[in-house]
Amino acid sequence: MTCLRRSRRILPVIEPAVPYHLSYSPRVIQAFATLVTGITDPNLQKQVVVAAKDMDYRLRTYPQFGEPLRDLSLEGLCQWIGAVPPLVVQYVIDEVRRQVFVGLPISLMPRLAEPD
Amino acid sequence: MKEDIAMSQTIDALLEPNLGQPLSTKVANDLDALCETIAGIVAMPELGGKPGVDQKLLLQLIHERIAKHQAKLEAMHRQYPARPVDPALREWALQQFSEEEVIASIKEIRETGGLTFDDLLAALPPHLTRD
Repeated sequence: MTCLRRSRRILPVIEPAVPYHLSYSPRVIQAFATLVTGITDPNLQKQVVVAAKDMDYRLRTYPQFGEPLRDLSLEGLCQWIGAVPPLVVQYVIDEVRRQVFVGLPISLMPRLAEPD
Repeated sequence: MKEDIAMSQTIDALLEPNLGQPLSTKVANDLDALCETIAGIVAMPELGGKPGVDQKLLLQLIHERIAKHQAKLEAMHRQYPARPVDPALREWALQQFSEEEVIASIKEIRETGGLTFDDLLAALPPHLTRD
């Protein structure tokens, strides 16, 4: 069964109640800094930073808040997408190792990213 | 043991309408394991179980602490609620990066050890990261 088909139907397993280990790639860090510093509206800048904090918390605590996006041909992993407006994050959950990877740049919601 | 299962099933039933049965079972197990960890600290003879420690007060303080964290986090989630991912957003996301790019990004993180949210904040102008 693919992760898309099982979606939220994860088999119940007893596992240690520890947060997911969340890692960002250097590319994500750099791209996020570029994104934030490129925003000219100070209010939106602050919103983005606070939303990023919320997103980080969700990803460590309950990454299933998002939706499965596609199956990967690597170790049966699945790519997910989560929206914490004004941000969108794509990530990969490794349930076995209880890890979450954020390796792709965090984006503004597409509508917000479009020029006026 | 029967009580443990009953408690977990009760939590499970509370969560089920929102999470779906198997996932709510997973979260119920996590919550139960956290409760066990707290109980272990309260009961350990060298810690909360040490003679002279007011366990009732200790449990009350733990409860208050949880409530404080809960209030803070609920405020944060209210401010920035996650939203369902609609088909247009899914389609947009799938067009952004290929599967190969996704896998390469995982390998990069594994090879470099990955970075934390503190690293992410450190890369931002300081005035934006002050609480």
